Amino acid sequence: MIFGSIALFVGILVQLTGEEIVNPPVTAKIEAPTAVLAILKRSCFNCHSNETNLKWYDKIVPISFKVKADVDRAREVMNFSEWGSLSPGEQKGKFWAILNMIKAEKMPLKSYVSVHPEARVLESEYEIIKEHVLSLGKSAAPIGKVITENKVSPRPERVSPNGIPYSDDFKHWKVISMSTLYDNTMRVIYGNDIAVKAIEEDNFHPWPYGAKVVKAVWEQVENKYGEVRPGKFVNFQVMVKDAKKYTDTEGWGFAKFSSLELLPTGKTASFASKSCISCHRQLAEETGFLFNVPLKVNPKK
Amino acid sequence: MRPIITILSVFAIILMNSCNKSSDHNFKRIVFDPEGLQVVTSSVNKKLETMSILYGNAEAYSAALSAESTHAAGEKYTFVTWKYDENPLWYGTTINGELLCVERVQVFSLDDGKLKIDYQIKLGKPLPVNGEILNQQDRIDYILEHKPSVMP
Repeated sequence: MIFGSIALFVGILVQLTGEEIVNPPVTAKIEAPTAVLAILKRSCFNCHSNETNLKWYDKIVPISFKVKADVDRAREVMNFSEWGSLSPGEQKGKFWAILNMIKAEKMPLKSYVSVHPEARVLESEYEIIKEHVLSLGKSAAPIGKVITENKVSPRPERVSPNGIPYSDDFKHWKVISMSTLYDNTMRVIYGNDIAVKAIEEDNFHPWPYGAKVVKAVWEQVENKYGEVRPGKFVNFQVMVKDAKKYTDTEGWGFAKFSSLELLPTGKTASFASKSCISCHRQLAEETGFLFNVPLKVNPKK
Repeated sequence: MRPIITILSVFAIILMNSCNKSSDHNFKRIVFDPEGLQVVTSSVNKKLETMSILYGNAEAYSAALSAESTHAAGEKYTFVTWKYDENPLWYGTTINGELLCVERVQVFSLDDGKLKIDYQIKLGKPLPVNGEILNQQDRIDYILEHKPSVMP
């Protein structure tokens, strides 16, 4: 009896240690078709917005610690209440991430859905999101206007906030793969010798120190033959392997240099742990967190 | 009789599986070696589900960049085409798969000072353009018509 009372008392005291989740003001809420918004609100907003509305059991210590950590992380990666602060390109990128996370059943988190079954995204709802995301690509470039002018002008040195500098070296590397993103972009992906060797030996668990990959991205333009050619230059995306240096992004240092001006992405050195790595970690683990490792093919053909 | 058939079926299944696995093991990740040439540009054919890269040496790059379609001895081009597949890791993206064709164009100067444009197929068969298989001269023109991708 005495033990029971003590346990109850301690249990109540422990509850006081819980930290409440505060809802900061909604500054730039997402705008999307009503059907899409309804799904996002029901399945994502509890963690990915400043309109978190938890159930009573989410607030019980020690569950509340996990919930708070998840909400903090979710808001850091993508916050629908601050969506308007993202560039149109970033918004499009986030929508592709949403689609892929739902498709791979990585989001909403399984642990979350098990206690919040209403958050599950149905197949029909996935299709609604897919239709919306595909429609974002149809701002396609004009037909037949392939830009051929290469402006080569001196420019200041460009360095990512995590210290990765832009370098032209990759132009001498081998191409490891090519890719397209629906009607949006086309990409050529280069790898340095260490990366090429790792790919050929299927040795990327983990990738060796010093492997570097650069993805060059262009908008798509259709030419007179109905082929898609690189149009406006979009960005270079860089990944550098150094497991000791980039400890919170699976050993990969990320950098992005956009437009012909090569403007670096990120405000702080930790930008990649808040954005890039989320998708790489959840969806590309099998290839050492890289999306564009060439597929295995039959060499005899 | 029945137990024998069962045992044989089990063996057959094991054998079939091991065959499949061993052929999978022969599949490799291949990185194309352009033998020192650099990327001039790339293209994608969504109807044929193919992707191509035009590689070239420095002489080829400057010729491709130039507004005039004049050529000079020493230019070397390699035009590589792959079949593409959906990237299983990211819905909405494609990635190159099987290598379909490798073509090489080189510009030589002859004794009389005239230029000779040599064309060779190193692997596979060239793919149609606008549904048409081009003759050798048209194919050379098609390859040399590519302009470099815009890059900083």
